[in-house]
Amino acid sequence: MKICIIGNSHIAALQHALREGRFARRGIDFDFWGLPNKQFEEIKYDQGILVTTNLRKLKALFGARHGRLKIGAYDALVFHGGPLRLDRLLISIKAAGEGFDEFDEEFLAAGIESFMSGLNAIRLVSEISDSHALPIVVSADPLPARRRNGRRKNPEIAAEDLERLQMIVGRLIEARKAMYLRQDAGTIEDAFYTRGMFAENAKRFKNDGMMTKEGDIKHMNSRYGEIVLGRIADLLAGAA
Amino acid sequence: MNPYRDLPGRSFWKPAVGEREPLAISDIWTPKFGFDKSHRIATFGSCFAQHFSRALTRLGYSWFDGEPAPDMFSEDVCRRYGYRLFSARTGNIYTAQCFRQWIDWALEPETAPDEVWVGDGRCIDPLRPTIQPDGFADEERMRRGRRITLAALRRVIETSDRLVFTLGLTEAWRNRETGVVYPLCPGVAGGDYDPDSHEFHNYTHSEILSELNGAIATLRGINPSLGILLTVSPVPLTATATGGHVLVATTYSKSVLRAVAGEIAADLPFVDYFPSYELVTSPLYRGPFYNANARTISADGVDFVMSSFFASQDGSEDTSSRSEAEPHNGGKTHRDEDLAEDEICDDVMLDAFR
Repeated sequence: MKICIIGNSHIAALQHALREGRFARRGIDFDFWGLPNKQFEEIKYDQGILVTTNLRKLKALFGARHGRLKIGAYDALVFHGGPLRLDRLLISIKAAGEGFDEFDEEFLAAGIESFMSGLNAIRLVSEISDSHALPIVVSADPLPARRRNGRRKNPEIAAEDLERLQMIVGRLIEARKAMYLRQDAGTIEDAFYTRGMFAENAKRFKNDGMMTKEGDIKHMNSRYGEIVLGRIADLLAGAA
Repeated sequence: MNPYRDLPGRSFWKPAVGEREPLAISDIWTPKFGFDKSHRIATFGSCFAQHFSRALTRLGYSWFDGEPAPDMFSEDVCRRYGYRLFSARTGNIYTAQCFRQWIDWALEPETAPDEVWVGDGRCIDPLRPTIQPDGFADEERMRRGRRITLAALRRVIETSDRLVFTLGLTEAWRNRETGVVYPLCPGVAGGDYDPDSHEFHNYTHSEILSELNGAIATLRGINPSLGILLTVSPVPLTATATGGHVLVATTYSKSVLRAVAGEIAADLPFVDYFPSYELVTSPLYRGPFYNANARTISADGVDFVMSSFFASQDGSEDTSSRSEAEPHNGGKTHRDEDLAEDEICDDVMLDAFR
């Protein structure tokens, strides 16, 4: 099975897991394609191909052969770290009220849909699933790790609120004929945070082997990538 | 010597109006108290009140969104669910009676009526029938939503520095048994009209004066430093239930509201009246501020009203929506019909019954 993982800087954890030999499964080949956050928003779908005008950046990340991504060359697509921004959504909901209980479920679903439908990853998923029968997975970008330096406060989010958001997001993604892959529960601590160990020694998206900046709580390491790759493989094996 | 000798130019028709181009008429409002950017400003009332909240927000004033929606949700969705329109999710408050009801219920939520309109398995809140598209999934959700709004409204009343209330209508429908006044006639956006249970009433000057004075006394009882600004919506009635002509009914309604607002503002030092009604409807302007339907207010009309308001504060604000980049509608700007159509006006639903 040939799987392409499409996304922004969060796919680096998965790339590095493969490069470091942390994940290998017979019969599964992974390709990677994507651009950093802002440039990712410019990717377009055009008649079976994902295209971008930002070829220079793409070439630097993946080499010349990946200038255009032919959907038909793959058995499955995975959008990882598109981003869904679950953390920002949760913080936004928490900031407006005390939590999910302040809002009617239907309003939350409509509001989250309005936010998600503006994300390029979700637009691409809709366009591709309308024209192709291949399995598509939307894999949540990781929740942040806790800040350790104490300068900025770590927001407290209830586990039930994360669960309710996941349920709504899952339904919205399934409505687009795609599968939703939640962040692995074993990688989460204190309801809302990725365990600190997964943010340690994370490498950059740039293909230079350098580490992410000191204090980066958003990007995860290859141990995290290994877990995500395993879950992707399991999900697609189950769907096949 | 006579009392007119020392009056300013604005007191005389000829220099203030007759010798000026209509759009150059100035000094039309002398505020009793200021609105500055440090003030927390609440807005409620008919659909025209929504222009105040937008203009205040656009110009960096502290419009008080007492029941905010998550900031990552789209404007369209939030407005469809009654957020970001008024300082709490009350929906349109057209009458002084409804305004007083909301204030009383905010203080004593247990006194809010139990009535629920059920239809097609959905629950409509009779106190704000359009607040939730297609109604609530069940009664408990409807009640919980209302409790949240009443708590928000109480916070708004307690902590606002200024409150703008735009009076819209004198006509209303009420429950014969409970006396509850509805914002919309039962049967229009939920519920069933029953002549044995529901009655029409066109509120008189004395009734509105009494209710509005009562509402203001309650507001000031909770928040003694609150400055209250009354305005009258220049938007004509969509329909009248009096049996008379809607044009005549509109004149009655607006005249009564204008008189009440003026009387209260003249009586109470902490209540002011802003002439948005006059700025749009005066024959001097020859009606350019209405859209082709002769009912909704054009973007130019809204700009004119809001410019006059802010010019009276510090004389420097450009309120024009033209000056603002509008990100919606693929680059299309919110002008003319578009802007007016953007208001959430429950009474427009009456048009469906003509």
